[in-house]
Amino acid sequence: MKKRVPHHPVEEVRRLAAAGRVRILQSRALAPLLKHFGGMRGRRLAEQALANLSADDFVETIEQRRDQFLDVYAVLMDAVDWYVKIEIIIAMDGEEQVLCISFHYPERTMITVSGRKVIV
Amino acid sequence: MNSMIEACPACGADRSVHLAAKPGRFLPYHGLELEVPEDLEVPECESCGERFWGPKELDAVEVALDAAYRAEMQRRAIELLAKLEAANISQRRLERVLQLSQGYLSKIRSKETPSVALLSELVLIAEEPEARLASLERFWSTPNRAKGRAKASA
Repeated sequence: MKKRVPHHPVEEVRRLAAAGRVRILQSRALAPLLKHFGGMRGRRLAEQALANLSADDFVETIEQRRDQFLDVYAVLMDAVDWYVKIEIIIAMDGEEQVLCISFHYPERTMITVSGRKVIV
Repeated sequence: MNSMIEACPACGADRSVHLAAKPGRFLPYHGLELEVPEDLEVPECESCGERFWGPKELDAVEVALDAAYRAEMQRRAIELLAKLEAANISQRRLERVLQLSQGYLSKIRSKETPSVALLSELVLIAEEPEARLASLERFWSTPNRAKGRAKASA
């Protein structure tokens, strides 16, 4: 059976995140992080989590629309499981950037490629 | 890969993401909903309203939200202290009951940011000042009974 692999290479996500090239959507990522952590510590931890993203935490790729592929990960951060949805985009400056679409508590059960089951 | 310029990654609307600076944008910050400075430009979808925060905007908003948070906490504390003063509760009595150093509440009126715990205590005391202060005074003046028990069992 073919192993599920992310659409956006995890090494590339890590490289971009480590370089600070992350853009975060407000409604489903930034706001939940700020609410959970109180202040901007959540933003920094999320960026660190993306810079250390593991292929083992990959869950699935979702084809959103018009060839827009979003990779879903189950990330354990601050002893809490997080539903993380990302893609790599070409930003306004013409350079690649990680777009963090979701970073919130899981709303459904997820199973990572390594077999870790995250139950809601 | 998708270009943010071509389509909104949230709703898919074509060419709808532009830099926007306007009032009425809020972010949660340490339990408060604080307004983002209206002159801060943040990419926003004119179709769905989603905002896309990058490092530059986040660094700028953090400084602004931190200042707004301190100002709002101080404003709320000053409001509560005025209410307590109107109820004839002296600042020194409050400082004694809350185990604050003498003059600390004056610092809050001038520059100090009150902690969440202190502000919460002031909220509760301000609801029924005399009764709640009396209750706290009774609590803190209760003798150390654990020490007595330890002696008795020794």
